[in-house]
Amino acid sequence: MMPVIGWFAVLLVAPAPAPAPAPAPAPAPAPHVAEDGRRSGRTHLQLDASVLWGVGGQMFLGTQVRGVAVLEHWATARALGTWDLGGAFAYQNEPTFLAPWIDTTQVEGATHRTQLVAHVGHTVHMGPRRRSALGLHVLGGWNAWRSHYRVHYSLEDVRGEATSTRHAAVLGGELRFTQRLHRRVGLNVVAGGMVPTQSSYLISLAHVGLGLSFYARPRSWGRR
Amino acid sequence: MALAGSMLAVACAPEPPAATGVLSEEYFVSARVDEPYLLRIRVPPGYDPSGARRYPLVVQLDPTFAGLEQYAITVGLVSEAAAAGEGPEAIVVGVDYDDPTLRERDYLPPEPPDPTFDGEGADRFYRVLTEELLPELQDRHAIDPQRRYLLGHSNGGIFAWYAALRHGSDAGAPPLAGIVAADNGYPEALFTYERWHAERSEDWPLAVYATRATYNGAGQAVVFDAMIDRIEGRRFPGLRLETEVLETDHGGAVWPSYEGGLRFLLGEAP
Repeated sequence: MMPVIGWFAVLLVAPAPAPAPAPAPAPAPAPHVAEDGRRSGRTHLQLDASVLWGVGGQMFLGTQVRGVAVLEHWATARALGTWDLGGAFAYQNEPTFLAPWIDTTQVEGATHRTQLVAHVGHTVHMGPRRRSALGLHVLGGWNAWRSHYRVHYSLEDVRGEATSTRHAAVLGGELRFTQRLHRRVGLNVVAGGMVPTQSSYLISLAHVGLGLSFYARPRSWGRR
Repeated sequence: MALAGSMLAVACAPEPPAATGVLSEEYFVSARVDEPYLLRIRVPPGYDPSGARRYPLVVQLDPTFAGLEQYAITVGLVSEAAAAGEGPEAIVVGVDYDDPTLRERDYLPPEPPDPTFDGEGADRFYRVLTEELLPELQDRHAIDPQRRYLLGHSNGGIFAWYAALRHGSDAGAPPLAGIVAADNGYPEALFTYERWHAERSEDWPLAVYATRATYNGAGQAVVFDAMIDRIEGRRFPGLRLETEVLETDHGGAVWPSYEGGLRFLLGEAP
């Protein structure tokens, strides 16, 4: 029979029973459509920032910032479709250096175009990890046109400055290809144009752009 | 300038009014340039070139350039007004080219302007027009020499201004009774020609209908207003001047400029 002290010794040196393992924390939901191709039931947020080149009254350079909520709608073995709802702000500048018929020693100024539009469209997310996306969007909203120039003809003593502004509603479309490179960042290529409800000088004719896309999922938006 | 906008305007433009009379084409060979001019000619219904009735002559620049169909518009407007009894019949001659881009050779003044007017570009084309083409048209057609008008848009408008400003008080009757200068640019050279005219003449006996399109921007507004202010300040007693600012763009300015300009130049039906 083991002495009592012996039992105590056994109890003291014996390893304690292992605690039950804590459950592993669930991975944070992806800020983009699921890579496994299935609907996640979540709403995502995509922000696109692009530089633009296009034609209005002449060639212009510009920038566009667009934010859309991405709502998953359908999924197949090869692709996932989303509805995209949001808005965009664009600024376009027609500088004299893109107008070779203007003598820049005599004329200073530029034509500016500002557009604030709503975007609605559908995007198909493709590829093995659904990283490639091609979307077609309708856009509509407000366009402001402002032309401001100074002219100085030194030999004939002609000097003056003027500003013209106009506002117009716009309606158009955009085709956007996005390639996600990282969990939160991708590249986008965009091409778009306006329905000619007004002169292209006022509302622009067409544009192409290149930029970065950022993916997010607002905490409060959770599951649908 | 702004070809895209012009092409869009073409795509959206309504058809010109139907032409009446007889339309024909022929080549005109100038002794001063190598390539022949393609003349597009419209004569009124019932026209008799040897008859006693004399008609106004409307010379149209850039008849077909860039698809703007300026000749068709002018012919249609003249035909429509005459048929409705709202304007006189007129002979219309479009001075075209097999390659309409040759206009660039003819319409722009030399830089800097040549005070002898012996340069190329507009200097030479003016000589072709006044010393060769107008005399030949005058010989062959029943044209009223007191009612010969020149219509131009864009660079054609620059040439129209140039042609109007070339006349001096010591040069006899002006070759043109009036011009329509539709939505053209106003390079510094035009101000020089205007100053030269004012320095050699106290009068400018012709009619000028000048337009600009608002959507071209504020740069054109500055020089357009400067030119009109300068001319009005001269107080030429024989000048009839009317201007119009159009709520449109460069391509859209063609039709309303010619509609208003023909009404201004040709007046009411006799």
